[in-house]
Amino acid sequence: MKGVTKWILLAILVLAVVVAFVFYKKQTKTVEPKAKPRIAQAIKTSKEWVLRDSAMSNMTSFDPVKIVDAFSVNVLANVYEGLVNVSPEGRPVPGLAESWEHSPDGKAWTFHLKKGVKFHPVTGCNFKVPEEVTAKDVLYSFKRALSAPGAVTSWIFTDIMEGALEFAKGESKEIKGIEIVDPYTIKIHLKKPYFLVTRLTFNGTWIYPAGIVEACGEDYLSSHEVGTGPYMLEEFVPDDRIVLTGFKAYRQIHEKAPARVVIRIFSDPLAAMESFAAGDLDIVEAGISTLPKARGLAEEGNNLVSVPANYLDYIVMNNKKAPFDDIRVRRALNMVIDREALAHQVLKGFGTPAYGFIPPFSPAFRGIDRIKQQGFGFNPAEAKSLMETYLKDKGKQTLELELVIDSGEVPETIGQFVKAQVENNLPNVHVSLKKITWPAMLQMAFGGDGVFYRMWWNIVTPGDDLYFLFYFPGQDPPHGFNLSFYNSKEFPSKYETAMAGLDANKRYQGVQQLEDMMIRDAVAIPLLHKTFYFLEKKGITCPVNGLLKKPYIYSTSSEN
Amino acid sequence: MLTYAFRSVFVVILGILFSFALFYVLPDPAYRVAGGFADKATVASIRKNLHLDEPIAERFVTLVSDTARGRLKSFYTNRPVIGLAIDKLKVSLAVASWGLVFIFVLGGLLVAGQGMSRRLKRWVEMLSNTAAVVPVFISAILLLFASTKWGLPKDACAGLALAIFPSILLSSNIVLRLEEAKQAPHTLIARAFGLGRFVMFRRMIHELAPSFIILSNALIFFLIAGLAVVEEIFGIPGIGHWFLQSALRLDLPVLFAVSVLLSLGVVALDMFNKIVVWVLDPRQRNAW
Amino acid sequence: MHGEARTNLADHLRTSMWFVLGLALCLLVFHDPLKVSPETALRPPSFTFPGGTDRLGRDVLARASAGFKASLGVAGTAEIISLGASLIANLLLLLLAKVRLKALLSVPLLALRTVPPFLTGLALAALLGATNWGLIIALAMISFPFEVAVVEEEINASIEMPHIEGARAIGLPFYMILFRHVGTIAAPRIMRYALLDFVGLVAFEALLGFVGMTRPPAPSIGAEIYNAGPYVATYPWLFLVPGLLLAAGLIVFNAGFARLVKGR
Repeated sequence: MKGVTKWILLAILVLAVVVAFVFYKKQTKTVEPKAKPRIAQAIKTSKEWVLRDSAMSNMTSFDPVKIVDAFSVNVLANVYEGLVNVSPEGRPVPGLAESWEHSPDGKAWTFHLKKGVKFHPVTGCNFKVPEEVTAKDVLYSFKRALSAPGAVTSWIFTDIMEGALEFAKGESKEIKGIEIVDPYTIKIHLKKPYFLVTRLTFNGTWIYPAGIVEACGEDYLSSHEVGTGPYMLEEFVPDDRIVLTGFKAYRQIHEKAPARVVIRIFSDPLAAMESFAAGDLDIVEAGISTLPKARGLAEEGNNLVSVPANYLDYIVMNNKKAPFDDIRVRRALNMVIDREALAHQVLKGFGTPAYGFIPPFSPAFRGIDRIKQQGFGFNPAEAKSLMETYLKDKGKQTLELELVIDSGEVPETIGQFVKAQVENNLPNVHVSLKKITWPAMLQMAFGGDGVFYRMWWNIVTPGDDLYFLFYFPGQDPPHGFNLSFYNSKEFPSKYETAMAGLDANKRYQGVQQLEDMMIRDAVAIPLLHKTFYFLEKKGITCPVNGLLKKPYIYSTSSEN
Repeated sequence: MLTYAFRSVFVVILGILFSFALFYVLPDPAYRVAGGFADKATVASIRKNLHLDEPIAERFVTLVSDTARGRLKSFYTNRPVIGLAIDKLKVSLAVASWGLVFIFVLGGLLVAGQGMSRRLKRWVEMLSNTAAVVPVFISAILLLFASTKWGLPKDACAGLALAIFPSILLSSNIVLRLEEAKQAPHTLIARAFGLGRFVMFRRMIHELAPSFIILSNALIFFLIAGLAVVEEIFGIPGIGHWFLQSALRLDLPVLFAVSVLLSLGVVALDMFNKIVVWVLDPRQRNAW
Repeated sequence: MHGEARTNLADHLRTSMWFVLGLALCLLVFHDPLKVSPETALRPPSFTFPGGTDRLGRDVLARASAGFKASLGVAGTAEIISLGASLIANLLLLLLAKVRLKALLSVPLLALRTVPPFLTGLALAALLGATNWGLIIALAMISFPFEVAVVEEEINASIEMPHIEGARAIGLPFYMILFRHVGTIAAPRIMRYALLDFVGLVAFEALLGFVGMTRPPAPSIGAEIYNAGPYVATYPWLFLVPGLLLAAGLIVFNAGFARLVKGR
């Protein structure tokens, strides 16, 4: 029978060699994406380089008024601009408006547009792009943010701009609060004094040419972009890559910037890190599982950048449902968790302990030691006595809690840590963990059914009022985002007062008072402010801030 | 023949219906699309845009007609799904082809190894037992590191990771059958008569026919289920990875399109099996 | 007569020894697999913690062992259910074939194979939630359509064997042929597939865990290995300890099953 076996073996080897040969030929086909440059506008300089970035998600849409996810917003921040842009440090700076001033009462803001700003060319539609950006384009874009079908951005203006709410509801044909003084000057009237500048960094206020939707269709902006930013969106292949090509007008000012940016999309952080190690990427984000490897690679000359994020990882408690409607339970749970152990020992520096609700990115952040004193410091003894008092009052012996988490290393680690801390330090409390998928989590939380679960937020636009978006009394799910069902009567008025100031320091103080109130009321259990880590290849720099914005135009390469 | 064709069409339709039925058990996609700003108004408007509130029959008909006309669009990226699916299928085919090559090479080596001598047979058996218990994601991760370290092509390493399991399955099957065939009366009689090796080899082919069927069925399960995992680990933008991500994000049009493709693929494979059996094993020709 | 009896007993003992060894792997729990202690996080193997510790300071060996036990229970039960259902389905197919109604069952079974396994898992996770039996049923339903086809093929191949044809020719009853002859031939190959399929189910369990079908902090060996994947180069014990334990367990059980089946 040896003979038969030999024949089989021979046949298979021959087949294998033939097939392998055929496929080896196919392998040598180039994998570089064929960018079809928009010939008229793309520029070739003698120092062209391609920046290779990586990402863990896909873009959901290109339409400024429909995107809500951080990733789409931050990629398109390179493509679109608003009146106000965001600097590499994450602060508002002039964008399409080169300067602005406001009336003494803070209710009338005048913006002066830059002259000669060009739009990107329009493809796939017979639309003549205007010579430059003018006030009528701004008005058009703002109107669309309020009233386009499927727009999620009307809230940017409806609470502060005169006539915005009426326009959004369809009750009036024009926005009373927007006044076009001349083609390069636009005046905005507000209902109350407000620091309008931060609102104008939001993606909903990005500017595109007037009449584009009428000419090219309602869906045009979902898959095409007509921005004014430094890069044009050349190609997007879902789960594969995004390609940005430099826009001539901008590139003339920033000659050292990359001519093209290719963002490879991975879903597995390990695959991304290995790609970086193999030399196929210039920048990669280090997730919790790849952080040790990133640290190792940093020792080889690469640069590990850490960015304190505009981020909070926390446990939501439904303030209106037992047992979380009792402040003693909420406070006890807060004091029983050793946040330092979580951040330093368990997560090994993947974040910093959070004792409050304002993240380190904000200028209003007071420092860990200072906030710790406000009430959430690790104090198991007091927590135990609070819990015992509660149980005695209710005539109960034990308390059964179910903590809902989604899947992934971070939520599962946090969930198991919290369970262990609560059960170890509060002997009469038992926590069971329930794991659900992320879509199910969103449905539960925003549908209003969540009681006790782990959630997080990551805010990608500057603005101190946004930190309280998820705890605003009166805006309970499913109609609003008050996931905690926080029901303080004094909070909304204190919020109005804090935000009404145009003095930044006064605003920060107001925001800190709001945070103190939330700590006093033990609204939720803040756990961690994540620190984002980025590994940059030796010789490459790319600014990134706590908003996770990467203005590629300021990237540099040591070879250029 | 006609009944078989009719039956195949029925299988495809039934398969698509099964997959469609599962959509109604999954969580609401609208919340996922809305992300962190899923208030009631936004969710309602998203549901309207995605036609999620229409009656079941109407939704099914719309899905099928959109797929046929190539107009099916993803919930997330608003791009036509069919074109994307075919592009990604091409990428996956490269990996799958490497997988097939390695299945035959490894399988052949394992069969040959076990045919050569008793002692070698025991070592090969033990080796293949150890390798068999290594789940796909482990071998994939190890091969990923190897490919980074030594600059090996990703597609080939991914294919190898996929091939380990099915090749062991195939080889163990073939070896068992060959052993039986050796002992079968007709083989013993043929040897007694002194028939040449090549003629006997031809006779033995039909013993192996069922192995091909086993392989192709195991292929669907292990190869396709493993493809998604392997593509994810290697970062290859193929159809398996795309399907996995779409399933997690509840991108229903993509799931539907891939289900349709899979239905067609399985039926095609079944037809191929029948042909292989028909050619190789005359005894089973009446099995239709 | 005496000699034979003694050989049988010794043989049985040797076969059962493998199974005992396999089950012993479930008992290597020298620390509480659930006790969280951040102070001992991510330590390499030592005398105190033979398997090293994970991110929450728990002994990796204890978790691997407890996880193996849990997976044996879950994936093992699922495999047995799937195998049993496959055998019953095939019996039905043979009976239906006699009355020429085979297509009634074979067409839906083929259609089931066209549903992507992960989609089935996702849907069942949403439907059944995170319960042990939910997980078992989900795994069984994912494995079943393919196992049916494999068993069907093995049975078909066995039926065509000359001695079976001979048995049919001399008019032996259907059931006798099926169980005594076809069963003897097909059994080893089906068992081998079942064992390899069991391995696949252990891995699939990890994937289903990702979709929300497991209850942390209870360990499952597939999940332990999967989560440790990215750390292979940095904290290798997280990966090697459960991986080697699983490999050892499966080799041992495979040896046991091989002996059990060869005995015929």
